[in-house]
Amino acid sequence: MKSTTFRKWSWVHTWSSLLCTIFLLVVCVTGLPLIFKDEIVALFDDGIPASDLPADTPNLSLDGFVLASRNMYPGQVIISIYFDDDAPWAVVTLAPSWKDFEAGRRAAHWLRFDARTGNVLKQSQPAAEAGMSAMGIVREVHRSLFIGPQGELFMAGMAALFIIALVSGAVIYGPVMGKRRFGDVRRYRSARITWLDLHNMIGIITLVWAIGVGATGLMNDLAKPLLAAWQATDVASMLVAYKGETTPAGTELTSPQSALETAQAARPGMIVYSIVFPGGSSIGTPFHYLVWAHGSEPLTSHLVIPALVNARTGQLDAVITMPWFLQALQIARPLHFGDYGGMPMKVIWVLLDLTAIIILVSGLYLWFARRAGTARAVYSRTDADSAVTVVR
Amino acid sequence: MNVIRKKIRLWRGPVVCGSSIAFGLLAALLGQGYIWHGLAWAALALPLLAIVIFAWPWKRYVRG
Repeated sequence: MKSTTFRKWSWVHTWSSLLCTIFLLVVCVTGLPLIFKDEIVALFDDGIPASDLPADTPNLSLDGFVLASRNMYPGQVIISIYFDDDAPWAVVTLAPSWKDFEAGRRAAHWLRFDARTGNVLKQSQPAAEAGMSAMGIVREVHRSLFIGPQGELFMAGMAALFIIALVSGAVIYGPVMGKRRFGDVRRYRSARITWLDLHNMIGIITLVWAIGVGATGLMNDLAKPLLAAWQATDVASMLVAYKGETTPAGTELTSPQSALETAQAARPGMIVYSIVFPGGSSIGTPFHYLVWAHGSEPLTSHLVIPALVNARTGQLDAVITMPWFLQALQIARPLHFGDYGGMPMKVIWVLLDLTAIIILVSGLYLWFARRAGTARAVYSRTDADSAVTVVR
Repeated sequence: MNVIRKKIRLWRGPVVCGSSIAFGLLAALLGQGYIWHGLAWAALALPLLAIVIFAWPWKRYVRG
């Protein structure tokens, strides 16, 4: 590599890293507890445990959960029902009205049922009253630094800089190593040289993991605006036929259980995990049950397919195919979290996260040490010049 | 020939570690059961093991 080319890539690596380092440190540190979020949430969960029943015990009808929820909170609207993949729970989300829900979602609260017995296991308070949980705070800092949608876009920019830093780091790795072997750490030289070698060695070994986590982090940050754009264009065009219709009243709604069965029959082999009730436009449509399902195979289990079931007639109006970039996003999403391979994988993810922290901190140290070294060199040169002047 | 040999010597390790990580991530994502997950854990642990070996503070080093 020519020395000018090397200098350009080195400049790109230095400045793309420096601009994002502090934010990446925040992301790496807040990411550590998020790897174990399921275990931490379960540890502090004060809900009643689900009944110990055989694994093949079928779930109760959705209509029963809807009726029980309406009896407990008359006058409120049901926003959605969600089935947990890992626990036999049906979680019903309610709000005083769709308008309140769409104003900020902090008015929403939920009821957790045992999906097989119908027993209420836990009730939440609205977020506006209960405040945010510790894990919620950590997640918000990790995702958007608590700045909201602009924060998510900012973090997407930082993730893009991180990827540039990784690629430029890989480009200059060869010239920096010169004739030395892979993994050579010069402990007999200064601390700066030792840390430079450690930085290079750990960086090149974990490069693929870091690019994977950075790229999927970037995709996750862009997911919301992309989904909103898709809803505003493709989904909105599907709803043109319903222009002028009113949202069905509670008494006009067809059975949610039959809506679920209709959607399931249209997509055999898929597992329904959520049903959004008609009324809103931010997470569903005013006229349909929006039924979300995912596949049952390892690859398709991360791919979600929504279906629209007419809430008045109970007919299937559409099975929506998401655009390729949203499908790719769904499949790649788990690669960011490291929570899809059991506890050993989570422990490995923590160790890889710690190596990323070492790379970031050592990068900062190398930059400061180099600046200090340059300043010392200039200072001693000036001293030498002065000495020469004095001798003269 | 010598240049190619040097490049192989320098890049062999990173390519093995990168491939191991890529395999581990995909095996855990797409594989089912303990065999695939076990392979994924081993593949992801390999680069960490390499870091420990190369960064081991009491490792004997050869000058030059």
